Amino acid sequence: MKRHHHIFIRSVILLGFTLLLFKLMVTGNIYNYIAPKMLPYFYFALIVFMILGGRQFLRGDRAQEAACGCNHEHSYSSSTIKSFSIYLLFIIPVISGFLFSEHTLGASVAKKKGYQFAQIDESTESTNGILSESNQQEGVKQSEVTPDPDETSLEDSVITPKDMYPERYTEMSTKEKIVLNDDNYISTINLLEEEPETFAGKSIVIRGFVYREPNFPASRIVVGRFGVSCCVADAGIYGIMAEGKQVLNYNEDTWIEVHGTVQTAMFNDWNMPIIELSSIHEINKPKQTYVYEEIDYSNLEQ
Amino acid sequence: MISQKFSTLIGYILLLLFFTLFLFGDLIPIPDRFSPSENILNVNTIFLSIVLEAIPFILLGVFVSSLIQLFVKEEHLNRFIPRNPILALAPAVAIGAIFPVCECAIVPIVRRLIAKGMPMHVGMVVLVSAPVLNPIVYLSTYHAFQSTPSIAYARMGLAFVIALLVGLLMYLLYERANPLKQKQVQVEHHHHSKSKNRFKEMFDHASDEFFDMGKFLIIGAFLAALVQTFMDRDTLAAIGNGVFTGPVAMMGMAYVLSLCSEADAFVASSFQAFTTPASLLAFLVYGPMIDLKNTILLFAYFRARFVASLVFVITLTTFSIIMIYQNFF
Repeated sequence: MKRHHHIFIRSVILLGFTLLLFKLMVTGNIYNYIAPKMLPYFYFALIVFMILGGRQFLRGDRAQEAACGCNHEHSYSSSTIKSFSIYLLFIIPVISGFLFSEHTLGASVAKKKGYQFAQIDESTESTNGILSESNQQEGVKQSEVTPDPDETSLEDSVITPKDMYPERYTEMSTKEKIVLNDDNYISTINLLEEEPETFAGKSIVIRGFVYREPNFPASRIVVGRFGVSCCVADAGIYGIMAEGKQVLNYNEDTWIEVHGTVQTAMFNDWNMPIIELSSIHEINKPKQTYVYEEIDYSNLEQ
Repeated sequence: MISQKFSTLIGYILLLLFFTLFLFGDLIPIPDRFSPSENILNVNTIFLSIVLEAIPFILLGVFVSSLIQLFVKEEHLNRFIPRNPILALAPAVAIGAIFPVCECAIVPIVRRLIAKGMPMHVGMVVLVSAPVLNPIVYLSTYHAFQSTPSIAYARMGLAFVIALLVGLLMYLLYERANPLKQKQVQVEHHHHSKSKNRFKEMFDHASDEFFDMGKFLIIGAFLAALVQTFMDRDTLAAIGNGVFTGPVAMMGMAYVLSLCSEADAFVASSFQAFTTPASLLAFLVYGPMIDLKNTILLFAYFRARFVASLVFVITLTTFSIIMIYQNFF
């Protein structure tokens, strides 16, 4: 394989990346891979790919251009098969990006990532209100979580979700109904987990996909969404448990809207929010399936 | 001749394919029985997200590297870096701390600096410190561990100490040996200073470098995506509490997950419930310094044995320092 073939194929691949990025950005499917705050970098990448591709294309055009003598030649393999297998590596992501960019992560990945409450030992579980009967049948396992002295000594330190999201906190405390949407999703979940008692008894509306931990009773699910801070590789699940007979008919990965009341339940000395269901219905998977971590650093300065 | 016609033909077919997919990709019906399974789609999504996220930073790194290639002379470097190999570590950490460069972008930059005459061990300090000792990483860690801000301070402090030790150990192991692959070194002798087409040249260099590094990035991202999709976090979490097993498990996790240093704090905070602060720090310090994706990226420019000993030195140093930290705090 001669140098100008390499350059020609490289220019085509660079063009492929340009087209892929352009299409992902136009369709918004880029948000299935990265968080919106990263977008400026992708404008940069798009422009660079365009320039590099164009430049390589022109460079390839002048196939007979004398080698510039700076020994670039060595970086081009002369074996055709070897070269193509390397270029194949670049072609695969472009093609799979064009074909499968609608796909988003669901319950099967959530299982691997581990919903944070899955770790909690339920042997000491005691519940307030309605939940007590349904939890009896759960297996008892020995606690491996011992509170670390270091951690507890640090507990009484400064910033809590309440400090992070003061406006949302006030809003949630004053209103009778808590409604989660794309923008307040992460803050609301954080606040509910931090202070479940404060919000107990309020009615709540939440949308998300259905997800079950292996140790859950049949009548319990997590309504959750993936929260992304930079790219989907760092996605973590944010959700709330919900309990009620109605959930039995809903399979994992079904998108649902849940109406209910916030209750609290003790799991291994952790007070957790849990929704007592009043109604549940299936919804279409939203265009934007993930929620994104938006850091407002100004709230950190006190 | 046949193979040349073939190469050109493939190029045109590819061009046609890309345009078709670009225009009609969504309209191509994929029958259910041909569509890949959920797991394969998950691997693909995570793989693409790692590749896509790394691309702008690889390109940035490649451009900075091209700029260094064109504008930084060896004399400049020599002036700023003390001759004494131990003293030379100080400006290295400073460079690492000032540049908010993440782990993908730093590889081509360090390679170029070393090719320009920066001592190898100084380069290694920059390589391991830049992705973790930087303001963006500090802020994201601080945010992710709102309730325990000491994690953020300790992360920076430990990274500082470990980076220095890594530099020192690499110096003791290799002194001034050239860690770069031979063929890469030849490029460096420069003769274009008279050329008026510096920018064209920069773009050509950048493109060549993108392809040199890209293949390693893609392989690394694919391996990391496989691990992410199929590895159960609970397995590692189960041993996350031990004095020895905790840090080992979290370092192993940091290595295989190959997260960007800006985002890893959020992932780490989700492990808070079932591991010790020292193990969390092991995760937060080790991951940006070396991980699966980056090990493979390093193979693009550095000798295999050198990469292996670097990984070993970083691992050993991090583990020892974490053990000491655990005893005292």
